[in-house]
Amino acid sequence: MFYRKLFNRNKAKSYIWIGFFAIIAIFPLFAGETRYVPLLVTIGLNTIIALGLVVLFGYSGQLSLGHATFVGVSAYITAYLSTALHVPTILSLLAGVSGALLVGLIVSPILRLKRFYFTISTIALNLVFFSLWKGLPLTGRSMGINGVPPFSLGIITFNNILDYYYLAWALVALSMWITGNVINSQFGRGLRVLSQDDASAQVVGINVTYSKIKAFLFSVALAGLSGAVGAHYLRLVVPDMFTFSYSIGYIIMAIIGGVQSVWGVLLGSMLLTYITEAFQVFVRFRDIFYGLALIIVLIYVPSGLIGILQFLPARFRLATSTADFNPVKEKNPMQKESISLKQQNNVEPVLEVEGLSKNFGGVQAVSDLNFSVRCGQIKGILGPNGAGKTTIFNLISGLMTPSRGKIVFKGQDITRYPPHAVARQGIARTFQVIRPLADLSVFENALLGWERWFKVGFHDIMINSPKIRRQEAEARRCASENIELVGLKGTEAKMFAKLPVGQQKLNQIARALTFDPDLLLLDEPAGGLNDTEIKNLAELLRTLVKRGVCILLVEHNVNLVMSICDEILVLDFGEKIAEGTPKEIRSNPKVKAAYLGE
Amino acid sequence: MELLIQLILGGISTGSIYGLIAIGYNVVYNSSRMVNFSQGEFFTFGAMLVLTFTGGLASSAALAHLPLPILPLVIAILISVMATVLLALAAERLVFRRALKFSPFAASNASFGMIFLLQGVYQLIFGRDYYFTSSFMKFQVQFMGATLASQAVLVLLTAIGIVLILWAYFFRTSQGLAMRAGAENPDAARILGISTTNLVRLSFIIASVIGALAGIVIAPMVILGYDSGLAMTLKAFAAAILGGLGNVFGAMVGGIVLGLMEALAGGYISTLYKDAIVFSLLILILLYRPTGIFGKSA
Repeated sequence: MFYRKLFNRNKAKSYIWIGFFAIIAIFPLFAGETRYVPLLVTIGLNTIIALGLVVLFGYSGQLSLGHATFVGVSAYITAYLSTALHVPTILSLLAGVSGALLVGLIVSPILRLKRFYFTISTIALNLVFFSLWKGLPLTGRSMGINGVPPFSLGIITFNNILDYYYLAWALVALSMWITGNVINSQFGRGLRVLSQDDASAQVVGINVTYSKIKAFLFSVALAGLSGAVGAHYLRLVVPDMFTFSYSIGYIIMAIIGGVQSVWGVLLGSMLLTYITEAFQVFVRFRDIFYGLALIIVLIYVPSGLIGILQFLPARFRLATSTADFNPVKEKNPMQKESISLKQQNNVEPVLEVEGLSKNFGGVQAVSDLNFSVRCGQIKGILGPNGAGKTTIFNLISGLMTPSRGKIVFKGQDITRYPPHAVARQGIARTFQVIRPLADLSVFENALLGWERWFKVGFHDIMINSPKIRRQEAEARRCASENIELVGLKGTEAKMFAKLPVGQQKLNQIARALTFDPDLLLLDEPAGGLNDTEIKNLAELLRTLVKRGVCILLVEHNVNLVMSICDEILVLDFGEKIAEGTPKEIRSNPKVKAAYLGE
Repeated sequence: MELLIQLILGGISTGSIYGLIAIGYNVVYNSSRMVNFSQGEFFTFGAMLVLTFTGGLASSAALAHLPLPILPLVIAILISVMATVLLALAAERLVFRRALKFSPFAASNASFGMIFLLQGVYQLIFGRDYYFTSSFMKFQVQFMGATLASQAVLVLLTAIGIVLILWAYFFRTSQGLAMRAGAENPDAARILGISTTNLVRLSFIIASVIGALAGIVIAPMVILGYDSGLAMTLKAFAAAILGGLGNVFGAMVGGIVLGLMEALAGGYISTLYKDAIVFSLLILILLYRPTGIFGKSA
C-alpha cells in the first residue's frame, strides 16, 4: 500500500522535477569554474528555444527551419536598446521579446501555407533577416553589437557566469512547466488533431488558424526570451549567431527528445549541445549529422513528432491514460441549461434549409433542397450512392460553401460561417470515412468534444490555473460518461486508429456527445457495425432523442432508418424526391422507382 | 538609360539560371509530385567540381590533396556533370525512393535534410573557402550602350541551348512523351506500362544535368562556396512558383521575371539588400500568387 502511494504517478513526476533541479542547483558547487558551467548555460538557453518548437512542430506539425530569426530579432533589440540607448536591461529584454512577437505576428500569414511551403518561407525569412543584420549600419553589419551590458534586475547585476547559470536554469524550469501545461491541455490535444486533419479539429469548434498562430507565437516568445538573455550573457550579438544552421539545430534538439514530454526536449538539447561544444572534431561533421537526422525523422514522421507516438505502446504515453483521471461528481451547469433550452424549443424547427444547391463544375451535387429538422426528432436522409447526402452534411457544417441557398440554425443564418463557428453554434457531426487521428486515444478523442465548453484564456492554459483544472475535470467526467453510454467502456486507453471501424464510429459519437450538441449530424454510423451493434446503436439514438438532441442521420441501412426515424427525406441525384414518415416513404412510388429499383 | 539596359541584360542572364534550376524542380515534381529542395546542391556540386578539376581549389580543401590531374575546361565540365548525375542517382536511390513510398510530402520534407547532408559533405571535401573564379573566355558584347560580359553571353547561350534540347526531348522523343504522360496522369501512365520509378530516376538525371550545367556557367559571376546552393534553391523555387509549379517552360519565364526584379532592386535600391528583397518576394509570391503568373489568382 505504502509502496503504491509513494509511486503514484503525480508524485513520481514531482520527485523527478525536484530531484533534477536540485542537482542543477548544487552542480556548480562541484563543477566550480570548469567548462561544464558555461556549457550548461548554453544547454539551458537552447532548451528554451527547443521547447517552443516542440509545441510548434511536435504538436501543430508546422516545421520551421527559421527560428533563429526570432532568437536574433530579440537579441538585437535588447542589445541595441541597452547599448546605444542605455535602456535598463530588464526593459530592453522585454522589448526584445515583444519585438520578436511583433515580427512573428507580422509574418504569421505564412501559417496559412501548407506543409513544405511554410517551411521554405521560414528559411527565406531567416535569410532575409540574416542579410538585413549583415547590411544595416544600425545592427553593426558583420561586426554586430559589442559591449552589451550585463543583465540586471534593479540593484542585482548578473556579472558572474554563475549568475547566468541560475538565471538560465530558472527560465528553463519555468518554460518546461509552461510548455508541459500547454501540450497537456485541451489546446495541446487540439493541435495534435489539426496537425493531422483540419476538418476533425474544425467540427468540434477549434479555430484552426488561431490555434496555429497561438502555437507559433508561443514558440516565438520562447525563442525571443532565450535570444535576449543570450545577448546579455555573451555581451555581444553578431549575425553569425543566428544562421539557418542554428535553426536546424534547434529543430533537431526538439526532434531527438521531444516526443511527448518536456524532459525529452531537455535531453535532446543536452545531448546535441554537449556533442557540438565538447568535441570540436564533431563540428566538421555537424551538418552531415543534422542532415541525416532530419532526413530520417522527416521521412518517417512528416507531420510532426506526434506521429512517432503510434509506434509506442500505450504505457509509454502520458496524457492518454486514465490514470490522472479523477471523476468529479458535480453536474455541469452549462449542460443543464442547454438541455432545458432544447425542451422549450420543442416545436420550432432547429435547422432550416432553404433552396440549398451545390455544384462542382458542371455537376449538380445538391439542387434546390428544402427541409427542416425539429427538436426531439430523428430525421433520416436516404438515397443511393452519389445522391449528395454527405455533401449536404459538408454544406451544413461549413466544410463546403453552398453555391446557392440558405442554412438557418436556431434562427441564425449560418450559411457562410466557417466550420468551427458552425460547430460552436451547437452542431456536432461524425464522418463516414474515418479521419486519420493516429495518435489519439479513445478517451482523448471523446474529450475533444468538450472544446465547445472550455472558457479559458491562453494564460490559464500556460499556468494550468484552477479554472482550467476544474473545467478539465468536468470534461473528463463527461467524456468518460459518454464513452460508457456508447458502450466503449474499458477501451479508453486504446488508440483510436487501432479500433475496428464500428468502434471508431461509436467513438466519434462519444466525441459528438461530449460536445453536447443541439443538432447531431451522423454520417453512416451503422457502416461496419454488426447486427447486435446496430441494435445498440438504435437504442442509443433513441436515448439521445429523449435527452433532447435532434439528429439528422444519413444511412444506407434502410431498416435502421425506417425503424428509428420520425421523418425521412429521400434524395436522388441531389434532388428531393420524397419527404415524410417512414410509412409514407415506404409506399411512395417515386421512392420505389428510384431507390428500391422497382 | 544605359544603367537600365545593363540591369535588364544582367537580370535576364542570372534569371535564366534561376529558370534552369526551376526547370529541374518541375521535371522532378512532374514525375513524383515531390519538391526537391536540394536541387540547388547539384548546382554547387557541378561548379565546385569544375573548380577542382581545373586546379582552382584552395589547399585547405581535402580534395586538393588528392593527386588530381588538371584537365582542360571542356573535359572538366563533362566529368563534373557526370559526377553530379551519379550524386543525384545516389540521392534518389538511397533517400527519395524510400521517402516516396510514404508520400511526396515526406520526400519533399526529407529534401530539407538533404540540403544539410550535402552541404556537410561539401565542407569536408571542398573546404569552407569562398571563390571568385575567372570567366571561361575574355570578350565583351556591346548592346545599346550597355556592355555584356562574356560569361553572361555564355550563360544565355547555355540557357537557350538547354531549353531547345529539352523541348526536343519532351516533344520529339518517345521517352519525353512518356514523361509528359506521367506528369499528366501518373496512374494512367502506370497502367500503360510506364514505370513511375524509372520516370523519377530519369527526372533526377535531367534535373542534375541541368543543375550542374547551370552551376558551372554561372560560377564566374557569383561568389562560390559550399553553401551557395541554398540561395539558388530558394530563388529557383520562387521562379518555379512564379512560372506555375509543374509548368516546365513557364519556369524559364518565372526565372527571368525574378532575375529582372532582383537586378532592378539591386541597381535602384541597394545591392546589399538584394537577397533580402528576393527572399521576401518569395514569401509574398507563396502567399499571394501561389499559382504563378499564368495561373488563376489565389
